Amino acid sequence: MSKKQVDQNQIKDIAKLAHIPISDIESQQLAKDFAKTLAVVDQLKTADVSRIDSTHQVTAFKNVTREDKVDESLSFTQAEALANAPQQKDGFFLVPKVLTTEDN
Amino acid sequence: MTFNQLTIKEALDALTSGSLKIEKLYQDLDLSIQDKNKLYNIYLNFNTDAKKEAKLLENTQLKGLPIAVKDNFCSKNLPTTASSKILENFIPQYESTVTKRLQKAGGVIVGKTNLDAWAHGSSTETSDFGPTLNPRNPDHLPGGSSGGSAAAVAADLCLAAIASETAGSIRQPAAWCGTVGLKPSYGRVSRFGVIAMASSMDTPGVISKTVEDACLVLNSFAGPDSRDATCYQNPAPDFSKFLDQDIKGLKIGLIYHDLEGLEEVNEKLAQELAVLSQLGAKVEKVQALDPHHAIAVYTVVQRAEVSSNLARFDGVRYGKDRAFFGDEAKRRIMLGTFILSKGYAEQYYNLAQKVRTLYLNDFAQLFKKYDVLVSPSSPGFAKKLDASAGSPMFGELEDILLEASSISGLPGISVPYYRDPQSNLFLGANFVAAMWREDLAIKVADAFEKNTKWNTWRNR
Repeated sequence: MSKKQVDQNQIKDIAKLAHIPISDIESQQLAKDFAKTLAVVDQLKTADVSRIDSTHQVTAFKNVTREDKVDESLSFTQAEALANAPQQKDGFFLVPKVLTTEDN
Repeated sequence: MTFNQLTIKEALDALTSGSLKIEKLYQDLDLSIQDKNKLYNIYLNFNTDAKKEAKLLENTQLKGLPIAVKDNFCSKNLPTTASSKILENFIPQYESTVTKRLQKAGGVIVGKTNLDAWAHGSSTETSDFGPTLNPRNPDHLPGGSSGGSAAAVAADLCLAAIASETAGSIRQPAAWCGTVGLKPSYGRVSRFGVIAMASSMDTPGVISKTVEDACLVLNSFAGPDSRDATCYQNPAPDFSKFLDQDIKGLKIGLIYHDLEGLEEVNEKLAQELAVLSQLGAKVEKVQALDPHHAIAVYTVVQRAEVSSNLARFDGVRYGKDRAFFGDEAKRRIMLGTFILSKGYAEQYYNLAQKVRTLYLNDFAQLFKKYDVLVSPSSPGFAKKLDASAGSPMFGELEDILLEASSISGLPGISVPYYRDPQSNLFLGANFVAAMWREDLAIKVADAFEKNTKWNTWRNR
């Protein structure tokens, strides 16, 4: 069976994609944990799935829709929407700065 | 005996006849909570108005009885943490469908119970607020992820508990704590307001003292919900109708009977199942698809869905930022991100979803011949504290007997079938039925419970 290895650099790339800050020590440990988990997952490759369709959901219900109508009971007031915000200003969420200019 | 030790059925009868006042039940409950909650680390937060609410609910279905709720169900104005630091100070502005309906039926939320953080695990040891101890033997784990809910029931710190299962999280802790755990079919119960983990498998359900109690509680919240498009549109039946039924002629298949390492639990189960034959059911061994691949399917699908669902925690709208994720959550989010990335999705994710089909096909074949399938819920008794440390696959391996039915969406009930006299720990039997056929699993589990000696509350 092929042993899938994910090295520390790959771990750091994945962490970036997943927006998870990790330390060097964590990336070492995560590489080891990945190996253990992938060793189990790689067993799937021994299954015969030729001519087998994928199952993405088990109920087989299709196109479940509702009327395109505003349901007030499903909406938050502005105060409710902001109730748990760590930072807010003038009735808006305060978000981290993502754009920079040469001045700052 | 104190009144918090009653079952739901006993308490409802006593309240109806007037021999019990709800205030008295809450007094006894409060004393037990003061006595045991810190010791076992079961409730993370309490509803301080519980007793006051209960007094107003005399004329309802559940008459104000105290119910524990796993802390991944959003409850308006009560903290809801999913046992994570990220949501430590989160106060939902809306109520989950399950808890809303429970309250409408006269159930009162006593408090919110501990779980593995984000429901990632089978031990409660990944909780950011420390593990729960097993009230049957506090050197041991309660199982998980709904370990707090199972422990609350086992310690009589509620009359029943709401829990959720993705693959084992109701039935495994129920088995380890010597209680009943009912996981309905996927889609039988609304997921609206449950903090999402793996959306194609997440299923709310009940942990209770008896099968009868599980039915009475499930009745309060099962059924279609326009807020969850994956819900079954047909109305849910009255599940208590399936209690005390004749099981004569039902065909029961004993699966996973020849798995290595399970000799002891399987031998005991086979002995106990003899009672079902005496009641007229036909019990025989049958070969099911080897469950080992289901571990891998579950791992891939769960990690993939976790990485997507937990992307919403950005620390902007609510909660703390992503640096606060614990080790287990980081591991799962990152593995899911990897599995879904270009080049690996075909190799892992799509392959897993195909193997998932093999399990659905296998169950479809088995249910042509059998009404109910049964196996142990767990490979053994509750593990000792610290058992999950250093093992990134602890939960997956502990839940090997439950994953195949979970990835297939099937309903199942775990009921106690043995108690070890030395350790005071229990084994649970998992009765599984075809999709939407909770009725069959309930019939058999109820008959089994009432004709064996292992249920603590029926045999006190």
